[in-house]
Amino acid sequence: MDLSFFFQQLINALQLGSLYALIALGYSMVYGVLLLINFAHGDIFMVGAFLGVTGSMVLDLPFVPTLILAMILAGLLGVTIERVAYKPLRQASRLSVVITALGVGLLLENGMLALTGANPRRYPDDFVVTDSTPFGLSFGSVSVTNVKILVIALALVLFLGLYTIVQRTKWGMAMRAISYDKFAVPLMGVSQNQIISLTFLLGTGLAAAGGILWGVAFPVLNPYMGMRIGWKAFIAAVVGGIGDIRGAMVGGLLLGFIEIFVVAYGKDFGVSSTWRDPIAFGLLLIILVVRPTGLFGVARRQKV
Amino acid sequence: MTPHNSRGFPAGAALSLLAAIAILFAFFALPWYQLEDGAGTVTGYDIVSDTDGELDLAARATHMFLVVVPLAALAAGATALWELLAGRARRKAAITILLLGALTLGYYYGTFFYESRANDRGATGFVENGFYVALIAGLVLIVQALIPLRREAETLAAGSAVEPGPPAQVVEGPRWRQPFRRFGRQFRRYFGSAPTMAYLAGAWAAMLLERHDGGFFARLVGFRRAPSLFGATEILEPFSDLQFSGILAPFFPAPTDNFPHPFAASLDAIGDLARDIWSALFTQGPRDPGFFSLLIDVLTYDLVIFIIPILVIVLLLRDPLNTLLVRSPSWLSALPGRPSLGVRQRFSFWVAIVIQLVLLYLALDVWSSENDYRELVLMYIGVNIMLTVSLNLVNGYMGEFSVGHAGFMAVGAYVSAVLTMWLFVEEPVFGGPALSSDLGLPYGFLIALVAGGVAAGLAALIVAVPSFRTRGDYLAIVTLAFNFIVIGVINNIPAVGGPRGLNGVPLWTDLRWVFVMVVLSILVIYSLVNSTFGKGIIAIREDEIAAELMGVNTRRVKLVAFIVSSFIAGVAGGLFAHVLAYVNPATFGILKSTEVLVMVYLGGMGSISGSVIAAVLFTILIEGLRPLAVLKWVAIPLVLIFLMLHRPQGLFGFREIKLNLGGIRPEEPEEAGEPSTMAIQEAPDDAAAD
Repeated sequence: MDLSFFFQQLINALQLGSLYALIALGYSMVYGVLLLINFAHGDIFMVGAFLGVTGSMVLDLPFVPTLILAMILAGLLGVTIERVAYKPLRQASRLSVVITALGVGLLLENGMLALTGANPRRYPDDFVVTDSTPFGLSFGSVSVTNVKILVIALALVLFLGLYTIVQRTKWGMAMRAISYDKFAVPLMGVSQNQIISLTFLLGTGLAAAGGILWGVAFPVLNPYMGMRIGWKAFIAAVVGGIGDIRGAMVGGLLLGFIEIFVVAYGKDFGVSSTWRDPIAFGLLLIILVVRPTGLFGVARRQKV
Repeated sequence: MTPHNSRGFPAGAALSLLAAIAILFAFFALPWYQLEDGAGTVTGYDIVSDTDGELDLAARATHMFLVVVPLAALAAGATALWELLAGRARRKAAITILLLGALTLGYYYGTFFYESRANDRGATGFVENGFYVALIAGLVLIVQALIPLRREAETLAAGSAVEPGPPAQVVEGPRWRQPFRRFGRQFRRYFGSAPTMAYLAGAWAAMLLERHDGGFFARLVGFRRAPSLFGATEILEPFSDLQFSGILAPFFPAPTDNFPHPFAASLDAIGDLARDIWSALFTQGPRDPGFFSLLIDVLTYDLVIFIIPILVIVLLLRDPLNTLLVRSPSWLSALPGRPSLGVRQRFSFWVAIVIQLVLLYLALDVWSSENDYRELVLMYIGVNIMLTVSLNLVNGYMGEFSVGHAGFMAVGAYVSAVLTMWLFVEEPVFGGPALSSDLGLPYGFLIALVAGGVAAGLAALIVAVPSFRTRGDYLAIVTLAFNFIVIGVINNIPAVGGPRGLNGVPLWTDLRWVFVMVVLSILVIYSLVNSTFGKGIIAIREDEIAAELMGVNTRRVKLVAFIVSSFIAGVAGGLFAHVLAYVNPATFGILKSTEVLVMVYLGGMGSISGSVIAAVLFTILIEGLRPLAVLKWVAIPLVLIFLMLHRPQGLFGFREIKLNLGGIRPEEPEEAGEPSTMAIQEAPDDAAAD
């Protein structure tokens, strides 16, 4: 087995896994607080990627301001969606919220297609220059482009930032408290609505960051890109143990690893790269069978 | 039946009688049309009886549709005469006359406008006195019928002010809704007590009417041919080339785009769009009608061809059919063996059900024989009904959340398609038939469908065993992953075409197969849900732990429900595969699963009739919105979100539509609603489509 090939695939897997993880984080946070599978999340990821186009091509901003702008705008979009579409249904059955989320997702992707046309988008060439920057590394035949470093490092930074917010701040404590007992928290004088909005702001902001990084790493953007990736990230979040942000991170990375390594090494065993999806999902299902609550999930006691 | 004017001579009825006689007189005796080049005039009867085309009419406004005019006049006259003889006016008679008058006028409208469109000189150039006499008499019929209805409404309102009125009289809701509510109440009062059989008979008759006159009347109204889906597609045609994409495109430019001033470009696009919408709404010319003009045409067509004939027949058949249905058990006592009353009741109920299904099938068959597109839509509707009802068993009745229904459909579709292709037909993929091509229909197809269902059921077993170890939303994830896996696996089997799809599937699905399968699936789900076993299913939804404590074997119940649901989805997939001679794995992706979910929650959880209606509406919506292209998939989620915000339980959450299948006593139609026998849920197609 070629060692440099292995390391090359390892880097690729880390990159893809980080992207899945960024999206899975949003799923997991929203689920933790609202017990809602936010099926519109993947499409907010798409909107984030498109906002990157606005920042870079219309406003001519460099990478970091574009990223921040897109995260803020997408975060506001997420909060608006929650206020308009999910909040009125907080007393209704859980599934009608899920269906509304499905509707919002379809609306976002098809509205985007209808309002902006079907031309494929991409970021300008000087947005993140792939070579000639000091960060590009290569060890022998393993090349680590600065894009890959950027994706992995930024995902790690965002994850650590989020983890700090959730674990170390009062807001984070309130979020954890709501996911623990959503009836007791308002009694303690914490505004449930504010916390939920904050959750959406953070979750969708991360999705937007994921969208822009995705656009940098795999440079073709179209309005339907969010759906497939979103569903996959959701599965990753569940495998990690939905509601737990470490789990989302691990689940996303795991999915990335499985996919990349099936493609890279599958052909040695006569498995073509098109088997990627079935094998990835099959393995994830096996994990779920062994640990029904996911890798980091804790079985909740059911009160009788 | 309350007489609204029991004192004195019913002058209105006399007026109706006169009007009807005037129509008939005008039709048979007065000059009706001028012939071309001043070659004299003819009566309406001459036109109708001119079957060999001797008359050289100005326009080909000739044949059968004119028969409706004297027939309606005859019926209206007979009703008025009956009223007159009875010595008092009856509201039912008034409504009948109203509808007949409307029918007459509808046909007049058609002729009149067709003539004016077909001839440069305008309609007045060749229409003669008799036509106008009949027209005015028809108007009199309508006005006459409206007056007593109005008077009675006032009497009712006044009466309720004195006596403590029933709660139905309480004014509720915003003011603008009041007329609609009043109309709804009146409508229910007269048409709510009618047995479903009457509606189905009416639908059948209306479909026959359309087959006979639809194309002709459509041309009268201004269409080239009869509208396929009740005019849904035709109405939206003017909007088909609207361009929305310029509005946001300047803010999300592709590398090839060049927008120096994004805001200006966007405003330009909005301005263009507004102009286009304006011109789509209003008529652009005789060749290019706008939305409003088309709306009037479509409404006229639907009213005259479908709605009014159905309502007339319902009103005429209501009392006789109710009597027949209620009394039939006692007539059956002459059967050999002297069965008990309960047996007789059940027997006559099931006979009634079978008759109604036959009527429904006949109506659908006549309707769909008009063109292939209609049959295709009906088959899609049938497949969607099966998918929706079966998913409702798991998601609605059992309260689980399965999101990968299209995966089971895909299994059924591929297994049955491969079986039929391999065993029974000569095609390029597997070569000649392994068995004999004579066996294909019906047995081979049936076996293939069942095999597809069994395969889907087995797949469900594999999915269910691990997922029922877990709780809550984990079934969602497992079914979702299953859907991805199925599509991925099919994509990787070159023998069935991989991502290119499977070509050469025999075109065996037709309306009969779909109809039978839909009825069977509804029957299976209905009996399952209403059995003791089904109570267990519902108990799991309400509280799984409590159900377990009460002795429900929750694992087994869940497993059986899930397998039944998937079996039906598999059969539906098998039918679907044989509709288009082609299956493609991409058809069964997450989007299809989402569609099924949408239909389930649109119709409402735990409601079979809701599922049926949602499947019908949603399929027609999808087909009708076809001209809108991309916007279709913007409109559908908007409708869905709006519905969820205002009716989170769906259209019929946990309720069933009560259908009057077994008849109710005509003596007490005012207390409509409670059918005397059990009601199974079968939505008449016309009710959903109107």
